Amino acid sequence: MNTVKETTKSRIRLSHTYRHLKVEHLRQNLYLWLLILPVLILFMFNYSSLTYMISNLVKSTLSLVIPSSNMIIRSSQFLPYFGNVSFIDLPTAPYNNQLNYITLFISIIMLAFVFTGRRKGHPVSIFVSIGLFVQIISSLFFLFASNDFPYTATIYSELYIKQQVSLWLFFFIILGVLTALLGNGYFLYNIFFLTGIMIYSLVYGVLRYLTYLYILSEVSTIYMAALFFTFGPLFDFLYVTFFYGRYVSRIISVNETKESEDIWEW
Amino acid sequence: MVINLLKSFMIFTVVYMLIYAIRHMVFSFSRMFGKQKRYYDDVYTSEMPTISVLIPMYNEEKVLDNVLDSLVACEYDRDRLEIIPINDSSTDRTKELLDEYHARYEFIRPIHRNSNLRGKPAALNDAMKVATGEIIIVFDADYRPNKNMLKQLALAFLDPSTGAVMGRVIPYNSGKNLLTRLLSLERAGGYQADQQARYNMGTLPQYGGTVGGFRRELVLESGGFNPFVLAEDTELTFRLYLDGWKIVYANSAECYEEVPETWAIRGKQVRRWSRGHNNVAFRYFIPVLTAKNLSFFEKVDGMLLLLIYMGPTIFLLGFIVSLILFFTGEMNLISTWWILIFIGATNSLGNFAPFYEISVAVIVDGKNNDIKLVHLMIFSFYYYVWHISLGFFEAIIDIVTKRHVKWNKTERFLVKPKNGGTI
Repeated sequence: MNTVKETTKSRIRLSHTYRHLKVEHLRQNLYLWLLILPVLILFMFNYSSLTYMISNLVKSTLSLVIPSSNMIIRSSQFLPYFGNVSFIDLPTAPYNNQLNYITLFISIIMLAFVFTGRRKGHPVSIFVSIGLFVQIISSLFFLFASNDFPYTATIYSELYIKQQVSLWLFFFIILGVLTALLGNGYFLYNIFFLTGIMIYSLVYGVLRYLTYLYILSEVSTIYMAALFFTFGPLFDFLYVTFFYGRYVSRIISVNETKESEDIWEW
Repeated sequence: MVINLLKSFMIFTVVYMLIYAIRHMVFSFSRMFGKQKRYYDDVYTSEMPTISVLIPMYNEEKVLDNVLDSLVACEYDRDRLEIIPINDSSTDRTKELLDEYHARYEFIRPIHRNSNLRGKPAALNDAMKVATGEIIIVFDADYRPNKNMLKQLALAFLDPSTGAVMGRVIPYNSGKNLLTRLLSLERAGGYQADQQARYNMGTLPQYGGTVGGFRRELVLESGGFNPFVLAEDTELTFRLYLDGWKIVYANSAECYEEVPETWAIRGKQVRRWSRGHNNVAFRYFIPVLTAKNLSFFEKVDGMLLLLIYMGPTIFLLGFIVSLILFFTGEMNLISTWWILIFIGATNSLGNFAPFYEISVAVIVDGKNNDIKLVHLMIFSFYYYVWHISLGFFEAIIDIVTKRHVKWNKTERFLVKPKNGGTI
């Protein structure tokens, strides 16, 4: 015969329905004002140097691949009081009509492919078709008005750096506030999460900058719209939410073992 | 001139997304750290109201025994309970199965409709005419209420100011595939965080058309449901609020449902919701704005609720406008300070905001199984933009042409075990 211990649950959980996390004003405010805010200010006063370093690094790397390219580092005004951003000024690849025709043809074929059969209406198909739609518009624009394309690789290079600095600022603010609220009491894990995501973002941002500049300077500007709209900030959002999901999962695991340690209120 | 208009639209898109981002953040904060407003769970009485449980059905042979068996097992005084499955011209074995249930249980009284006017609102109207309960409780055929559910929902009506009640919906097939896992996250955010936060803050929790109930006389006196509205639940929500009634959210009244298992079916479902919801939004926006019995915050919440299904279309148009601005050399719109606002709003706050509600909900629920998939929602975001926008444009055509909409039910997926029994 089973004993009571064997037939009962090892643990009876408290009701989750109306529970909520305790607010720990002192701890959460200290974290926000003594860690997140100073680091943010530090970043804002140093993004000029950071973008100069990035530009220098990318310029040196690109020089290895395209030694003939004439590249210089320029600076442009960004946030008032916090300094300029640096970016690479480089030549733009000349328009190639044949490449545009091939790209247009492939894009139309691929669009037809994702819009037919079992792929039709699937989220990935819709995402890919948006990217292909942008590329088709771009190709058509170049087909009829290539001389009127208003941007050069340098303009895009400047926009990219400004966009990237903006993303880093936003990610840090949003994730800083999130970790203060959701990860109260998990100081080391918060630091690990924030540092990891910012380093990943930095490396990813630099590699993407390098790739984009190579394409726009050596291949063609017909891909500029697709690079901006399809593979732009959306992919930053993708990896942030990827890490965010893992962070929340970890917080849940720890919270559930701490059920009796007064982190919850009912 | 045209460029300025396009730029203005871009600014409008950004502002729209920021407003909803703030809304999501406020709701998340309220649910995570605020004092939670409780339901009437601790009210005890022997004077429960009489209830009629209505279950609209169209070709539900796969699932109807689950909902009926669950309701039969519910603890509620049989003298005060009747269950009315509404067979809406089914072509499968629904009629036969319902008659079998009637033969076994006197209080299950199916009605068999064979009318040209089909759909959930018309079916509910017919059933309300024969129903005897003071309170109508509605379930969809794929739902599985727990033993206490009827009592829990009916308790809300002991409060004379309650016009309707809404329970929490949880998918039972969440582990089936990626889509069902993502839908499980959406449902958690929508109920555990969003609905509960609105209830906490005294704004406007929504009656969702199933796992909920309302006072029969209230709806009958105002002419029943409009049979040509696809979102009869949203319409009832605003009718009740405009007439001074309140809707109560019962977070503890958890009911299990089947969520769509294929993207095609889910696409049709959200398109129908968008069409119905936007149709209601066109008709109720001004009445809500000018309502005398709603407070400022209730009006704000009501209008944001009405406009929520327009968001994806605004985003889609904003995307097209940004493409035009890109090729006309107007990228300066998103330079310097603008880039902070634009990028921040559309890619961080705008998209990111619903993730706050989802993470808050799973933290409160203590369920960490599916949250690691949350990043994949970025792809379903574009999917929703597409399908909800189609629904939005259909709603505009409905309003302009005054055409009558046709109800399409969501396909069921339940596969019974070979040895019988429930899943």
